[in-house]
Amino acid sequence: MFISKVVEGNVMSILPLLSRHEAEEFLFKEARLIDEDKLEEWLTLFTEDGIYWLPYDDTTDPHEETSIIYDDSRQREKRIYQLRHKHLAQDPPSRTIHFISNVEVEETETPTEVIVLCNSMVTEMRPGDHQYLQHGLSKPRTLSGRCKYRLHQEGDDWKIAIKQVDLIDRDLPLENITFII
Amino acid sequence: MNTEALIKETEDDFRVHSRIYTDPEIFNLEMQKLFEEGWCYVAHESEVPNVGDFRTSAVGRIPVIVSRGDDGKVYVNVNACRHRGTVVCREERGNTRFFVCPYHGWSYKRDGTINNITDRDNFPDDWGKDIKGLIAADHITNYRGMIFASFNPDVESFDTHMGPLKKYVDFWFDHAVEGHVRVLKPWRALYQGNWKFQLENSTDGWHARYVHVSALKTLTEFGEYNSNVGWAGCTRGFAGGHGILERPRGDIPPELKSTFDMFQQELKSKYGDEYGEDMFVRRHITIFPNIQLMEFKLRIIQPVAVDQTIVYEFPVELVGTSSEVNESIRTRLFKEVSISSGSPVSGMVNADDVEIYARTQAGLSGGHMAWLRFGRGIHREKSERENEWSGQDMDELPQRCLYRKWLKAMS
Repeated sequence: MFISKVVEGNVMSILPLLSRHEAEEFLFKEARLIDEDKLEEWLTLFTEDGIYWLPYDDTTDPHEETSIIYDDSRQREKRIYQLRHKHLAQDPPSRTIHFISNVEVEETETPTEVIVLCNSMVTEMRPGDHQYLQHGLSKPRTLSGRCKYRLHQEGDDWKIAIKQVDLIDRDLPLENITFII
Repeated sequence: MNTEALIKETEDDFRVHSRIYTDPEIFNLEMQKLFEEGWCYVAHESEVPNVGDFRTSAVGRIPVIVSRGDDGKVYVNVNACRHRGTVVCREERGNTRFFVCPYHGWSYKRDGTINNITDRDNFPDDWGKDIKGLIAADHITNYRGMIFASFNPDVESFDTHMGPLKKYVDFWFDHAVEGHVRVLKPWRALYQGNWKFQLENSTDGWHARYVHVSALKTLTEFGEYNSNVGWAGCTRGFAGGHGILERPRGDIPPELKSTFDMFQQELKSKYGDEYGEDMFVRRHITIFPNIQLMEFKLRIIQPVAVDQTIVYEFPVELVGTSSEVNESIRTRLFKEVSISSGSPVSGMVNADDVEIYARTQAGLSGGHMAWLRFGRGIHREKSERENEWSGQDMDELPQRCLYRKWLKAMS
């Protein structure tokens, strides 16, 4: 994760703040925590004022216009708490598999922050209906989106300042998204 | 079709046949009789504020364009070219001078009247003189910014349709200092169930303690549950099929309290104490068949098929009201401080409702569970004025009124 070395007295940037490999490790870990239902640990990946955002339109102010999800840390905690307490729409809970690809790292003007871009495909299904009575249950569903993470360096760790997921069908009527994308 | 056999009311029971949730033939008849030939909400006027603004919508199964003409009036026209029926406008909203059909280039003005039939030279002289424009709705009404349309030349007057519900709808819009609202961009949700489940549920005061137990538990855990709301209030039902669930407002969350006190004080000084008190009660209001006025949002129900429904929820801005109050409303809606708010797709509350709709749709498969029961409180329905009834807060009174109207309109 190192950036610079001293060459003849000058500080030169020779490596990115966060390499693509390191960014991938971070994203894969996040995906694994979600897919393995370690959501309490997932919460710890965010900065204190971190935001988890699924916009309808990322050019509008999420405080002024609707979003599919716009969670600060309190909202995320409430979301996970509800998942753990018989949230009907998550009973039984969704199984998910996150596929992450096309990872790119962009530096920002802040030395402790980078932007990580990637594509994400989430296959989700809720089990529990062995007779296939209820539409949408026991049937895998795929959500695809372009993700933009702003990662913030805190000591040796990187934390999520913003996780933004632009679903390809974000502006259409969507079925429940009560699991973590 | 003998629709009369589908609702059975006796002195002490009320049954609705499961076919009305599962039969595509009944669904088509509903779209015709209740939506297309009744009064269907199509758009809010704040969605088309300027000349040339348009928004595409639907009246039952009929795709429509709601647009503002050069004369400043709002028009509702069928979104199908008079030549061979192609959809002329596919964008959800925008602004235009003309609506041009992509197939053979026929064009229409902002009010839907014909602008140009292309290649006129290749037709007999008088050909197409009967084509005045897109097919217009037979009736359009604007009630406090809500635009309703009907494709029935003989539809009952909108006043008759609304009946005594008007008073409560006025309460809702009078929350805005200027008496009207502006809608923001909507949340959009899709669920796998019949459209009437959503219609029934918004005025169902009984289900919350079961369906929303996880939301209540979460809010309690996070110190946001307003226990003073309790389980008080009442239900109301109307001859037009409309319904209301009323709940006391209870305590406002501490961080919003001073703003809401100021808000209520403003309303009381404008309308007087009594009206200011009455109007400030929390109400879910259903205007039959497809719009619900919720806590500072409009909920629009758009049936897709007998077992599939789209719900749009438009948060509103109270026009003329202080930005502080509007900001508090947005905070409540967007951050889910209030239990009746938040994104319907991923919020704490509605997601559980739509799970129940899909689950009920599943239970009705096969048709053997023939009769759904709506009997709660049938023995204590009261009527204080004509065409309006009231019951206790968890009574299935609004649902009975809805199906009495359903039966009348469908027969």
